[in-house]
Amino acid sequence: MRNRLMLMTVGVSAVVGLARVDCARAQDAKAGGQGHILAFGDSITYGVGDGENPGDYVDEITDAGEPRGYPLRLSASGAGVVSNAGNPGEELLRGGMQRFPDVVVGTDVDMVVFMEGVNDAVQRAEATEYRTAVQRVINVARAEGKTIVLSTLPPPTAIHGSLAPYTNLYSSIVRDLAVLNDATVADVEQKFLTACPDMTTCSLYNLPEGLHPNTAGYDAITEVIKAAVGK
Amino acid sequence: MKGVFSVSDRGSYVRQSRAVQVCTGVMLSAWLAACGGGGGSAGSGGGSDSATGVRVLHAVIDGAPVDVFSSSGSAVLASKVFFADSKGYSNLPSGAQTIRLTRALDQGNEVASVSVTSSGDDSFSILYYGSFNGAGVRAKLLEDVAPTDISGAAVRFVNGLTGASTLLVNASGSAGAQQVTLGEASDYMMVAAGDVRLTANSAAGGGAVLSMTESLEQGGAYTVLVAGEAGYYTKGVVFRDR
Repeated sequence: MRNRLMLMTVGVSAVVGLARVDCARAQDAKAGGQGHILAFGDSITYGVGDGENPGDYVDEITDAGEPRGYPLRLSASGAGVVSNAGNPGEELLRGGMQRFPDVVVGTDVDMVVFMEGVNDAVQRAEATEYRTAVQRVINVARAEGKTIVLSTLPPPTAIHGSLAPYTNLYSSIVRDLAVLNDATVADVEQKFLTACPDMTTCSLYNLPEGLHPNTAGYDAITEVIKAAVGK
Repeated sequence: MKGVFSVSDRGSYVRQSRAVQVCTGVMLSAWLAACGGGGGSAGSGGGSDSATGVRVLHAVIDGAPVDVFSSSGSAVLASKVFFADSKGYSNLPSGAQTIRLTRALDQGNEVASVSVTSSGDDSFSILYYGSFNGAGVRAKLLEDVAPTDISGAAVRFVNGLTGASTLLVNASGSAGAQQVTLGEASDYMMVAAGDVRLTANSAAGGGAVLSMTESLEQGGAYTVLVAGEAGYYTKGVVFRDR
């Protein structure tokens, strides 16, 4: 049995580690026309819970580990340089939207993949606030000439199932804003719902923890993101 | 939102160097410095055409794109005007009318409006500014009356920067800096054509919020929109006026 606790407080070293990128590789990739993708979000972008297999018993996650998740898979698939700017425990309203300009403005990032909001669900953030926060992120990205891909949120289940109504609402907002802003949507939520008619036993999640995907879940997320970024 | 950063009133052009200063020794800033790509992207010319009429300057940092309608007709004057952008001038019917800004793709969701009377050969800018999470959003009608005799180029600033009640703006080679309050436009400054340095500072604290260089054409009149939110993100965009 694994008994790990999700890291909700993020130290500076962790934040720094998330956004690091091999600059030489980034420039080489740009020269080759592959582009530089910034994966922005929280622990699900960081890859917390990755490495566990379906059927493993996981009720808590205490160690974020090294950044993995879909950014690592996307990079390994030849999509170019993918920087993992996932920040475990971060809320969009209190952290993410403030951090966003600092990791986008003045960089050579060509595309941003945005997926954040699960921790806002923990706080029961109002939909209107979530909407304007996402719009703010979109506006900064567009004004900086970055292509933005908006991802819906994987629906929490089991121990964290009570968050699902909020993440479902946030995901619907993301879809709406994608249309409004001519942005591409990566519908991760739909992928999970389709794959798991019964979310309480969803093999894409660490269970019964139900907040962070397992290896199969991150594979599924990668499939959706990869299609959305056109790689 | 305000007060999140220790350095306030950072412009998109100054953000990178400020970030390096603030975060020296931190790996993230090292990455930014090494991979920064040489400056921000502010200052790109906005979309603009030469038609008479009205245009919207979108400065609302958390605002969705807007569609623009006139009470004098049902057709959309401009669709999906995005933040820090404009779709250029749209023809405006003569007479008194109300210009409505609605959330894009949602004609019933009006976010702001202004009244205008057009003679048919005049031009206007509508500054859309404020914040949905702050004091709200509003629209301000600005007349686009450029000087008739421009020996070099003429440039003015529009303050759409939420949280910056007054900006001290300047263009290199002009007669001097001007103050422009939130929601207003400065007078046109006469400058030599060619590369012109455009700056905006907070009149309160003096901090730079914008510093950019733009190539201005001989005889051209320009508007610099200062958009965004002080202390969070500032974008300067130059539009060609009628």
